[in-house]
Amino acid sequence: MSTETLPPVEKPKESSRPEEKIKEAFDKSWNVIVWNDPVNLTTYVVHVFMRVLGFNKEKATKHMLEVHQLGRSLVATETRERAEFYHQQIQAFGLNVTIEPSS
Amino acid sequence: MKARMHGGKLVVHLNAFEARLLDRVFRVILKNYELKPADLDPAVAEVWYATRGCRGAQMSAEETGEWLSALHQLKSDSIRRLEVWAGRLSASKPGGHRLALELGEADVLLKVLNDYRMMVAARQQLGEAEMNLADDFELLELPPGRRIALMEIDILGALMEQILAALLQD
Repeated sequence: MSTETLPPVEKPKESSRPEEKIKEAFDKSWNVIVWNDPVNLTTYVVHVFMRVLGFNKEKATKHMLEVHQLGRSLVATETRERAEFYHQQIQAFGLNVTIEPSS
Repeated sequence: MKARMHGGKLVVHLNAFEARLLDRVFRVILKNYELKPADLDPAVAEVWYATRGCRGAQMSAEETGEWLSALHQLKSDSIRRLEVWAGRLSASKPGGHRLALELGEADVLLKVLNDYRMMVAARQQLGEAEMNLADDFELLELPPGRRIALMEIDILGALMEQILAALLQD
């Protein structure tokens, strides 16, 4: 039998667990919102929604019309990571996009 | 311009005028894609690298900086392709020019045309009112810079419509 002293077992950091759970829950709901602008073509907006968000033509057109007529459209509610990805990809296509925590 | 899908590629035929216009657009965009967001005309940076979404995402200044660098990298990745296209279009071809693009390249072309439209609109402060001018008489009353910008936006928009129609039919 070894006489070496084993290192103490680290207790799980219980205090951090609730925070992580809250963070996970928080991460699950971020809204991706596309805003109207006067320059982008409506057909281009449809194309971007199909390419980035994987919408079919009908769904993409519905959201484009929301943007055009109402000034904005909630195009996705996703985890923080996914919402950030969409944010960057849609912005790279030149559309006006924001993300915000879902209430 | 005529755009159609052929063999899984977007084939774009351009006449001499369109080729010259696109050559110029590519070269202007190239120069601006090379610039970091902080070195760009602030009016253009405001639309190409808008950080409103970063504020909504509650990003720190450091995170916003990283986000901007990544976005700039996405634009920079197109530079080599733009150089090739501009080189092809600048060569004189009496019968017009032909570009055969993979689908990913078609997206790059659309982004470039759109970025140019956004850039000139931002520089000339063109908004809803100017974009919706009812007739040519109103257009002629605008200062030359704004008038040219609106015409460029209109012509490039028409080219984009043809590309988008070809892609949607595929």
